[in-house]
Amino acid sequence: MNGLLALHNQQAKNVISVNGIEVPNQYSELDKEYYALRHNVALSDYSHYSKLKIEGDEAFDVLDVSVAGDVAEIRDEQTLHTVLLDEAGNIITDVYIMNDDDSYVVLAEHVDDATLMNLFQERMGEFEDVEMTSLTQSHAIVAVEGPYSWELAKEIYGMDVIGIPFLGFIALEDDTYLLRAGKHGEFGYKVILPIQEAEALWKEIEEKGMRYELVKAGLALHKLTRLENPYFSPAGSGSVSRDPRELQLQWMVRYDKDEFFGREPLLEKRDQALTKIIVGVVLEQEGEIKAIGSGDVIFCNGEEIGKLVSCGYSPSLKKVIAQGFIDKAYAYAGIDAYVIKSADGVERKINTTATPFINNHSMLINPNENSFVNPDKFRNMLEQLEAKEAKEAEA
Amino acid sequence: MTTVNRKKRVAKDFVLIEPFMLQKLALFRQPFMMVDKIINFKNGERPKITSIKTVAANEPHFTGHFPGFPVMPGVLIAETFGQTSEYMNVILQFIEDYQQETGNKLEDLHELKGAIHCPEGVERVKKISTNLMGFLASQDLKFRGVVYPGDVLEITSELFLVDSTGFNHFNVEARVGKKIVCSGRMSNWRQIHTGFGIQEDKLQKKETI
Amino acid sequence: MQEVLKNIIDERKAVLGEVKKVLIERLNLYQEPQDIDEDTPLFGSGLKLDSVDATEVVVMLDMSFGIKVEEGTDPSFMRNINQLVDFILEHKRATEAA
Repeated sequence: MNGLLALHNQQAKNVISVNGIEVPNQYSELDKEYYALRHNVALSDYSHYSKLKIEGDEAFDVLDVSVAGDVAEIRDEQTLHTVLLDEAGNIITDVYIMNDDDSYVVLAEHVDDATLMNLFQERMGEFEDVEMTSLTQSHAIVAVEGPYSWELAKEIYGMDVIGIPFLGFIALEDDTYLLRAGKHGEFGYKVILPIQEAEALWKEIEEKGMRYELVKAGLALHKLTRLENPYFSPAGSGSVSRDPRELQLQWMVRYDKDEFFGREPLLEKRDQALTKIIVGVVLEQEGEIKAIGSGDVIFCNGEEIGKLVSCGYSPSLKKVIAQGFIDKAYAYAGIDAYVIKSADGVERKINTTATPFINNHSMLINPNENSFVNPDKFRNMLEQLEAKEAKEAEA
Repeated sequence: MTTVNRKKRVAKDFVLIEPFMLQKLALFRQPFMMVDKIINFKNGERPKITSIKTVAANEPHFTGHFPGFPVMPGVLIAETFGQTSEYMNVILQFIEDYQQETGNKLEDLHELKGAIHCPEGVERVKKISTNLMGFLASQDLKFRGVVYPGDVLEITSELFLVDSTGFNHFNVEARVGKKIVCSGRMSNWRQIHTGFGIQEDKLQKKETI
Repeated sequence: MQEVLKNIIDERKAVLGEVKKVLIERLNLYQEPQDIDEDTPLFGSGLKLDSVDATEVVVMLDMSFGIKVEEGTDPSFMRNINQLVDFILEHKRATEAA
């Protein structure tokens, strides 16, 4: 029986089913969950990710011919974040591909287990020396994330944690992986482990996390932080387009790779003129304006130039943010000449902007120098620098 | 849907050109032999070669670089790129000559290995190297990590362009384990060398051989 | 499109184009300029540059845009292509105002 799920059912506000797996949607108060993820540490359950182990002599080939990114880029303990394309060269889902020496573990957030396995089986062509095992039901994913998650993870897994680069991972004993990855712009560590171990780990993290003011969080939080740090999102920008160029996700494909599923249509697309792009949008006015919604039209001098996709209130910016699907000629960041018209009939000024929308706190933290719990160390590099300058000013 | 060709498999520890063979072929000799063995080669539009250079603590330059703290000099990492790329040039020429003589394209790596590791193979390579030498033209490298004794350098070189003036351009990369320690581009050119210090135009090569 | 807006967009396009061109050259990127999206991150994901590449960005700012980045500058200015361009345009405004 799934002890972790039982725990969620007792303690979380609500639990939902994603990809056929039940995970917490909200644990406590959303603003508390948000604060913890953005300022200290949050604990989440990502077991709904589909997980596939691919091994065998032709594992590399099957992967490389199925995804649009370059699997040769990753070596042992490295992860590739790329996409699977359909026959029109459009993105079906993003995937993480972890290279564990001779074998690979594939993680996919947006498709269920059977679909993921199917996608590879459809694409493997003549390669057959490969074994695909689903880990979706057998493994849970427990994630500790936030600007000081590295420090908490270090308490559980040792100093090695500090050395893991972004998208690096360590393969631990007992079929467990510690992956440094996240889709929220903060430090984040996902532990992929056998489901029967998950409850014990969750409890251990919760206990050790007390000094870090850890808060347990659900998917609703991540939906919110995904607004501020956009990633491929089928329900968001993915609902208006799946074209890597329109979504500004060209970095996830390799146009110069010799062979992969969807290559020809992708290259054809590359030669055609781009008509619309997803661009970051921020309301000029502060505050949570409920009238603003997805589908609101964007105007420039009375002319319709695009629509809002995926909007919401950013607690960090204290403004409504969104992604705009805008006509190419107007689709640039740093423009303040556009307005949106919302359901309440009001026109409001917007600014286009670079994304991610916020400067994540994690960017100011150096795990080698800073600490949340150690009073002898500074909390972040900014404080450290200020203290140094103050000291020099005295001298 | 793209159709995919089944690649011919070689074992993970396959060696294309053995260390003793590199010595026999004598393209380079001590004290300037910077490649231990060739472990992979892929022909095609952008041929690619992979070689190994093991960094040993008893290499002479470590005494001076730096005293008490051995660090592999960047120029020697650069030299491994040059030598690896030159081996690729020779292999490409070898395959061409072999095909002209026998009709066999040597697409299988085991066959290629066999064709080199025999008296006729050695002679063929010597003929190529006696007539043609590779000269470094330019290198644009970034040194991303420090290399120490005990590290095993895995060097890859990809020939991505032979330009209209005959310069070969390579994308080069050196890894220690999974870390890329050096990467960038280099170019070289090949010169007919008659052994008398008189240089002949490349274009005449077709008549001499 | 109005003149003022057109000028702003043209200016941004020009800087974007220059930044992409120089980065492709200096960093030996395989991409053409149109393959690099404006929000492409430079580090971590996106272009996946390392600290050695970061120095090229600083050199580019100096040589192509006359900007000397001071030590201790918040590195978020080079988080992605757009933010790099924002930084360059800000600097341009500041020098013009002075």
